[in-house]
Amino acid sequence: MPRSIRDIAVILLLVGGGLLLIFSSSEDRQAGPVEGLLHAVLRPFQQSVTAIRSRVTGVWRDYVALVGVREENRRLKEETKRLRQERSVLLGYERENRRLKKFLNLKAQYEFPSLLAQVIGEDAIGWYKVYFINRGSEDGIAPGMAATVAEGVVGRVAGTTPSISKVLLVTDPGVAIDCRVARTRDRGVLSGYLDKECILRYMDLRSQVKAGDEVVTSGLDGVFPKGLPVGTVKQVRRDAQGLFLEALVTPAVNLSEIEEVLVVLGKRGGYDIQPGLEGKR
Amino acid sequence: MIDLIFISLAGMVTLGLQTTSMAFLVSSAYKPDLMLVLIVWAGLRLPFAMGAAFAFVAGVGVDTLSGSPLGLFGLIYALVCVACGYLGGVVRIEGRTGRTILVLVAALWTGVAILLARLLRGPIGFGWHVTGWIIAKALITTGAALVVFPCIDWARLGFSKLMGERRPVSRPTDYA
Repeated sequence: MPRSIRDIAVILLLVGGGLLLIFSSSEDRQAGPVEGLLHAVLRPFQQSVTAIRSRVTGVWRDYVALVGVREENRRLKEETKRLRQERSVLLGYERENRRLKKFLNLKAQYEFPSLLAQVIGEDAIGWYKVYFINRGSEDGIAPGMAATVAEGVVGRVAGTTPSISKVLLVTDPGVAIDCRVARTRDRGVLSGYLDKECILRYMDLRSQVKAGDEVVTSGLDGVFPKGLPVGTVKQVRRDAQGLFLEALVTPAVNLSEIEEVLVVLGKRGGYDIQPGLEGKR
Repeated sequence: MIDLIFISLAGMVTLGLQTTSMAFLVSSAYKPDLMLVLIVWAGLRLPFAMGAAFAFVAGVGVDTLSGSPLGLFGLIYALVCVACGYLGGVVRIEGRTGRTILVLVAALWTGVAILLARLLRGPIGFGWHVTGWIIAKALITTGAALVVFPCIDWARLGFSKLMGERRPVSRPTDYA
């Protein structure tokens, strides 16, 4: 038999046999003895290979593939640190934004021009209650002007250089503000007490002022606009001579937390008219 | 000359520390007066005229960075320096105890002088809270002096070596 015919016959036999097997076998047939024997022989090898492959994969996954994890961990730590710093900065911006919004509202309330300034320092030795702000005479600030925040009165500008001003705080005895007790309308002069409180002096002995009353600016000193919160009465007593009542006042502003102040740019002589209309007074 | 350069540099560093870092350590009202410690050091260690002149200039520097009227600290510090120089000439002030007492007295005097200056300008609400404040501030300054005084001595010694000076101090009393 020629070789080509033999090859064709073998191919036809194999293809035909294959087709015969495919079409003759049912889908849920039982394995025959030949298949059983084959599986029995191959199973130990298959199990060994599977186990080895599992071990190799485990080693790869737990050790070899973790070679870069240290680097990744370092990178993630750095990223976490960076994100924390960014978060801190953003929170700072948010707080600043909130504060500046309050200042904008306050500025809108005033009918006088005002200037926002940043607190840049405090008294060198600590004997005086003073803040330094980053605006000076070049910005229009002059001694005697009022410094405020949204919560109330901060103090009075005590001195200026072209770029820096000195603000005497309400807790310094060098400050004197004409104030009223909001409930009773009693007038008094508020000044610092070399402590955390201020003292409201020269109130009428018949005054009905009591602890908890709110103290506001009267607007009569020509420095502070009328009605700004100054503080709350903590204690009322007679003065040393017994001629007047005086009250310890807790400031409305937490002076240790101030970062910016709004300086009211106004001339001395009262705040009862609009700026620019002084000639028509 | 080296004394003058050193005390000028020390004055500037002290003023810088006083106006910046001190606020981080204690509240503003109770921060120690480092400049006063330097003035006492200058009174004990430097020639009389140089010490007094430095004290006055340093005081004026403090005045500009404080709420005080210009010249108040200049005067107070100059008096402190003169008194220290006089005491250093009459009594031999050696060791930590003597210096500590001197700083304490100087700090109390400074507090009282400022209080008197404020009283002249108007009522200040004098009371125990003021007395306690002055004493507390003086004690804090004295505590700081225990650390600062040896530091200034050490810095002066280092500066004199750096400048190649043979004589380490103008008034060689008790260099630590």
